Amino acid sequence: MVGGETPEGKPVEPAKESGFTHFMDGAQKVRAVAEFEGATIYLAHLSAALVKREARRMLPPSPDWYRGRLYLFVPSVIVDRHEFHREGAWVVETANISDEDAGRGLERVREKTIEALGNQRGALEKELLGLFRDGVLLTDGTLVNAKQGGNYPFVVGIVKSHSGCQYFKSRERAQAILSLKTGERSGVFEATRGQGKERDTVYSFYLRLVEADDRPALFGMIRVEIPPEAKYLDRVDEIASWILTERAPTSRPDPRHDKLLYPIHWIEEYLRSRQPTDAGMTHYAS
Amino acid sequence: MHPESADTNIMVEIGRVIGTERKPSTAYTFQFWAKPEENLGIGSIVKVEAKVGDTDVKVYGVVVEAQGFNDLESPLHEYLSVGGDAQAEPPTLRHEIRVFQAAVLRREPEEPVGAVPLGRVYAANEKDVATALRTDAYADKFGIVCGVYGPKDAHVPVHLHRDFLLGPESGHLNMTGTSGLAAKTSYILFLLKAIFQHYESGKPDDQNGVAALLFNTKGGDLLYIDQEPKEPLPEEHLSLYKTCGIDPTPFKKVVYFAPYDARNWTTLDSIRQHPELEKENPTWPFAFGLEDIIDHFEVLVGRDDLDAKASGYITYLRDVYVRGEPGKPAPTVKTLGDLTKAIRQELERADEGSGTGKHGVHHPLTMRKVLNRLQNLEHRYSGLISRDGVTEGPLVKPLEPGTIYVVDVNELDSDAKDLVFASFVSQLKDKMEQRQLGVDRLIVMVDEMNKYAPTGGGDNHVSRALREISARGRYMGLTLFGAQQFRSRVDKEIVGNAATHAFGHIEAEELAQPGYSYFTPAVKEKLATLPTGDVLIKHPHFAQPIFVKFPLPPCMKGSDGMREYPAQRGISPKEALTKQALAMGGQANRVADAVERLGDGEQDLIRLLTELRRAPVGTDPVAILEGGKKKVFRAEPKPTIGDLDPFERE
Repeated sequence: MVGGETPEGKPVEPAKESGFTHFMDGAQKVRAVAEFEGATIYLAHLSAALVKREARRMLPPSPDWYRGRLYLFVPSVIVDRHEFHREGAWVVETANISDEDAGRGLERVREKTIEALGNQRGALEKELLGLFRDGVLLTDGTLVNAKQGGNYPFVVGIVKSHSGCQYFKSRERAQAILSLKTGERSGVFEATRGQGKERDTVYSFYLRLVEADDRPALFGMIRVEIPPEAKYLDRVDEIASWILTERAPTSRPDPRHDKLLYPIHWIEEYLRSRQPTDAGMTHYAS
Repeated sequence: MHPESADTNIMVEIGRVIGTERKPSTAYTFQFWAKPEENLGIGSIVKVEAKVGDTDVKVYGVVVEAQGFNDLESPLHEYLSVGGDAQAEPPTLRHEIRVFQAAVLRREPEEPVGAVPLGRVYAANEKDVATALRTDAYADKFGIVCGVYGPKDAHVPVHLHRDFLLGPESGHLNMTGTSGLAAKTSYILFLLKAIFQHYESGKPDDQNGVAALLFNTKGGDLLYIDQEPKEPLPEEHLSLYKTCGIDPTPFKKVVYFAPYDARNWTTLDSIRQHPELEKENPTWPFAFGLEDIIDHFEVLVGRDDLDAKASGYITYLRDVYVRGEPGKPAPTVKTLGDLTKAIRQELERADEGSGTGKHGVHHPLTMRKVLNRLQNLEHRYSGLISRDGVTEGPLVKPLEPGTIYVVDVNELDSDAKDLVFASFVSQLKDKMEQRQLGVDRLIVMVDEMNKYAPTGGGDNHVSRALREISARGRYMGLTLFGAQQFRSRVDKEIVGNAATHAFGHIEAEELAQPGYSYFTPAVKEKLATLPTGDVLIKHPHFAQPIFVKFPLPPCMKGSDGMREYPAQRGISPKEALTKQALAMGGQANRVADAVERLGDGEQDLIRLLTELRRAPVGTDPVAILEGGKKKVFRAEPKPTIGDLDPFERE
């Protein structure tokens, strides 16, 4: 825990007005388009957008604040993969089946593809984050790409999925976090990821947006990341109150409506509308 | 139209065409989205521009449906969003757009007629409106303004094609609107103003011009259309006239007719009875002469009452007593009274065993039946039937171009109105066929069409005449401007023969009828709430109906006229003569002297009044008055009492 914080739940009142001025999210649409010796070639459209909110309206991003590209994720074993360059998609090498033992080869290619997808999407978001100057940005996901030249802008990350990484260091802490009531936050702790030069630490806390008796323990639970600086630590209650204010309007009927804030949902819809259609992707693949 | 596109050439992009799997673009409809703040609504005209292959395609459409969307799937979600607090203001407004459905007005190039491309959508500017409605091809030479399109600050005149409104290409106008909302009469007056101005401009090739015949059936609606409005027209209406290129002035040449007052034959049965009006533009009498009665006997008594025998007898009476037979002395029968007298004599002869009855040509019972009906007419329509058998009214003389003839039947009861209307329509039909209208185009306005030519209303004389006019009138210069509250109840042939249709405010019950099924629900909704001054126009040159605005008529309203010029009735025969003589330009002192010298016999004075009214224009009224029966001056014995007996003998 940092700054004298304790794991126990701390009630936070929703703010009268949210302080977030900008929002960012990414999206992807992936289709398997071919197979080679059992390894799949994927065609993906990756995109990200940085959106400003003004007078309560989300303003569609200018061309600079939108990124959207087609990618082909091709296993290294395909010798003539460079042929794809002529078709206008970015070609990303995933893995070589022969690099691994026969039993794990295909799985390895799949893992590598997922990793490559994440990396490329992260790269897009990083490009956009580099354009963010003034205001307070709420981004979907971690702050892994948020640092600019060693410094963080005023950016807040929201992690909705807890399957990849949980910071329940002990049974007591897990109990304290899982028993958070609606509108309560946990104490702030350091969230570290990566190793060596890639090692990165941010401040983080859990926040219960909404609870329901008949739902799982993580229903309505998000993890918030803020830059690891004292000035942001001082404003953690304020940031939590802004997030609680953002619960309305809800992003229903999205099944993730318990954690998906409406501005992020708005960007998802926006990005989805700019994705190629299934027919378009099939046409490209053919 | 978008205010920014008021300029002829400015193009303002407002949205994009969308074609979804569920609702794809077709050859005649398309959908497009636009931001909520765009000034678009039902009736707005838009233009789509797209490149299809190497071809630049333009499609013009009119908005017929509008929908608003946000990303909400269930109302419950919104409720939950704000915790049921209606005053809560979430930090982000939901995504919201408008989606409009448009019907295609025109495409360039015209072929192939393919689906509307997914192009950019622009608000139509003035040039686009003309192109979309195809008025660009005829507005200069044949255009008759029917209103303006677009918002207040960007009005564009819309033109009908004269030859498709008045004939001969197609013709007739049918107007539907709820009664009492100043929709039908006001719009038709505006349109007449536009038509007359078009003819005054000298554009048409027709040498004999246009005239109109209107029936005033309600209050003083049409009785003051030659007078300035009591209150000046509001600025916005003057602006509409300016856009339309029409002078906001009352009708210049209006001739009013009214039947006689059966209780007082010196006055007319009309509320337009005021010295000032009489001096300026008097109301003239109309009455049916004996020949009219015989010619339109079927109208007077009803078709069901006129069997073949009676009809044959009427023909006989006409040939023998009214028109006269070739080679025989001119008939002496002049009035209805004369005719009934002649029939009685025939009956007497038949009873005695001589005459037509004897030879079995006409049965006495038939003769009695006809006699009975004719006698009834004298009582039922006494003010309408000429006392001396001479026809009076607008159709006696050739009609004059640029003139509106108003026949006031407001004071008549329902049967008498029907008679007047039926008789006029019938006479017009005859004159139309004989090419004796006197003008190249005569517009006849008939209100309450659902009464005179109802759907499935049987084959009566009036509906047959109206059908005849609607079918063939346009070739012969007779154009029908029919109006009604319930279009669904008007004979389908008559409605179908009208090339131009106007729709004002219409009640929802009427809009639910099958005849309106080609309008979208949104257009129907708009019609049900249409304000005064707006009308939907359907015209052969417009691929889709168009909403336009029109200004108030530039003349005095009926209600104002009735207040300004209250009717003055019950004047004496001599007052009526004086009034009439002065209206004819007689010098006041001479008229007064001449009237003073006249005798007091009422019949003689009425005859003189009739003579004055029938005199040709320019006749000296005093000369007619001086020809009347003079007062009889008898020398009164003066008492002269002498002192002496003049006969005394000395």
